[in-house]
Amino acid sequence: MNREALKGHLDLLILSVLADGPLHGYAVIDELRTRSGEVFDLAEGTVYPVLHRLEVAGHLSSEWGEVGGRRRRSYRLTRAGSARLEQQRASWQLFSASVNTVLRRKPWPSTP
Amino acid sequence: MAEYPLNLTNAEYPLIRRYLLAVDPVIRHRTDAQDLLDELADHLIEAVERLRASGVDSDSAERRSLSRFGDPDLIASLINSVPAKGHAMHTIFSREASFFAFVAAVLWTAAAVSLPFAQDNLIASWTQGAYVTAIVLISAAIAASGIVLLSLNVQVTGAFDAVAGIVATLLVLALLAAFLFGWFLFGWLGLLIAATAVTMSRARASAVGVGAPTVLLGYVWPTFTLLVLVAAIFVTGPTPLLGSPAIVVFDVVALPLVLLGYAAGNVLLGQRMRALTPHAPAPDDAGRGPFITA
Repeated sequence: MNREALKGHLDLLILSVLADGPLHGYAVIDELRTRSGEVFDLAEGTVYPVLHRLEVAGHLSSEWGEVGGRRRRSYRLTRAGSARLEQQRASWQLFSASVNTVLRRKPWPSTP
Repeated sequence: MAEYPLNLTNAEYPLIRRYLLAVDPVIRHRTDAQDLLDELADHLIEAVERLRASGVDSDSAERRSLSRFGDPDLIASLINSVPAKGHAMHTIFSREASFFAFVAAVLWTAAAVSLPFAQDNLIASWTQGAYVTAIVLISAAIAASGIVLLSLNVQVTGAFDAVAGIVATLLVLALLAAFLFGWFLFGWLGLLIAATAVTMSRARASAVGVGAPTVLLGYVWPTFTLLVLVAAIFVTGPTPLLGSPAIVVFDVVALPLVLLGYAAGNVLLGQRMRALTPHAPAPDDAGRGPFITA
């Protein structure tokens, strides 16, 4: 999939992935790739600015832990993030349904 | 914490180390530079280890992982475009801060209601029972608000730093001053103003403090309260005119307004903190903790 097209929807996708529970950055990308059937394949490092921006905005919070001797930061949705996710999801569904309607529309006068 | 920039030996992950050293100059000035490097290192090492586990040799695994991660200059500049934020230190204070903010708001409101009854406006002297009630309510309200302010300091900076220590000292002194010398408004109110102003000046750029909470608690309330205290000098000066309309207005309107203003500020803070509080872990997270490693 076109990476530029994907970037515009990263906020929604990341919030959606984190709605199921806390994840660290690698797991977020892994989940995105798996859920999309390997279609969403972006430069992995570009996910971190999005995660950090969502955290600064208060939509995510993060915690540090240690795994295998390494420090690991995991992110989880805040209440504000959940509200943002629902808002963006509704907006996307409306947009998506509208685009589909336009694409399915037959030229007038339509033939049976 | 790993040694800065990262405690990786060349023998372990030489290409990852080189990558991080390329990112380092761009983010070095940030207060969270070490956190960023640790986060990127964790990601890259996990990617390498997964490839290794699937049979890819170490060198190829590192090259493929770095290729997938993106150009270091681009990634560093993208990461640098997001301002550093104090990562939340989830102490029990920060988790329960919104609850304490609402408790504080109730206590300040009760104190505001009780305060006019604590003073007999005709003779301007404290009456024992009502005085004790008001002082206990004010002291409890300072304690609850103190927890909120300290938690805010910790959330904004990610640590209980020296400034948080100063704020804590101011709050303890305010609590003692209110309990022991509640009649001396300049004491406990002055200390509370200082603790609140310092905290809100730190929080104004954060998600918790930005907007209404900072405007009210950081600017409007301290200014109004200082004006009231200055007015108090003229109203209750060395030779106060007991029972005068000015004293009645001061006791029944101005002082309660100060306390109600602080209650409103706590409500705004509580609402913001509640909105930013992480969800509790889902039941199926209980066994595996917050970190998913697989």
